[in-house]
Amino acid sequence: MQCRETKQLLPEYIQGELKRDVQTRVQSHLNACHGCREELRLMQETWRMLGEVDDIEPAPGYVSRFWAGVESQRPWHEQILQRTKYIVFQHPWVPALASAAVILIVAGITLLDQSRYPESETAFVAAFKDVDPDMVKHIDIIENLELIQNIDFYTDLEIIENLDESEAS
Amino acid sequence: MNKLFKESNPYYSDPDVQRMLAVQQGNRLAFEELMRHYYPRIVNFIYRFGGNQGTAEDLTQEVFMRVYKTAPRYRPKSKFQTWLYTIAKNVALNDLRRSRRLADSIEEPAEGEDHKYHKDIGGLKENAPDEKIIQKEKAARVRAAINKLPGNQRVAIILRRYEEFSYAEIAATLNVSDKAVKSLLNRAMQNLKKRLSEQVGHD
Repeated sequence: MQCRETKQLLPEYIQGELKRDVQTRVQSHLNACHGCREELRLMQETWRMLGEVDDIEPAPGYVSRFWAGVESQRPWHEQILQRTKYIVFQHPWVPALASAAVILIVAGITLLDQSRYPESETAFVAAFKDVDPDMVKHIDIIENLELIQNIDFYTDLEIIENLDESEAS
Repeated sequence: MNKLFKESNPYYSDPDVQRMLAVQQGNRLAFEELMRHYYPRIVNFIYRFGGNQGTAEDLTQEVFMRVYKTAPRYRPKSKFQTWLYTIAKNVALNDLRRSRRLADSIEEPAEGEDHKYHKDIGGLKENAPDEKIIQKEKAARVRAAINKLPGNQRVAIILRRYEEFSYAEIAATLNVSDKAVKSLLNRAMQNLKKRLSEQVGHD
């Protein structure tokens, strides 16, 4: 084996990767050649020096950093849905609170809606405070509620009953 | 048809391939297992390729983002490790091209990188013991020498020396023959020996 071929095989030789017969031939040449033995020493030292570059420790939190990166690349509507699911998962009382809030809002709106017609309703009730309860039975009186509120019923009743006769005359 | 494919695919016995297939089904915990196992190794692979730790961490995040986004269409055509390091190699080489630390021809080494690594040890000289400074200086010179290697020689020597890949695994990662890997490693060692010869003679 010549020097040139030996030198080309030295990287495999120092790693023990040569087939047995080739390794034997390289060894024989090295035994006889000072130059190639020196080359072998330099190659072994280079291999050893490569091991002086120590490992680095990755910065902590690389997994959470990764998921944050995945999240930031989602479409905006998916991000909102995901965050909503996360909030509910972390705080199960949120749906109950939300439901209660909805109920309160609906109830409030309903009460506000009913309070839009206060005058007729309260007047209707008030009108019958002062009126003889028997009068409530007469539908004509109910329909002419305003008239009833404004006249002295007992004083003018006779005038009303005789109204047609006085007009006729 | 799927069952036949699974039975004939030799990579289905790889546990990490199984984890990746679970990720494909939406299993995020399986992805975290892969990440916890491989992240430290990938960050070191990229760090040894060149640059600082911050850059290596950013690029490693990019590697795993590519893996995650590829999950829906993942088909095991190699060991998971081979596929992962192929992605890491591509990310590292692309970054070098972008930052113009690699010369126009992919086979020509970058120049003028020595000073960058000596910045790492500048702050230590005042207070650190001599042995620590010497060790840091040696490491800086080795990193500078590696950084002068052409792209594929750099990948080959890092995978062989630090990740202990077999020639076949390196060949699969680089998509070259075993013979080409031996040639790359030979040239890389010759180049490193020349650049480190000052240090090599003293120990």
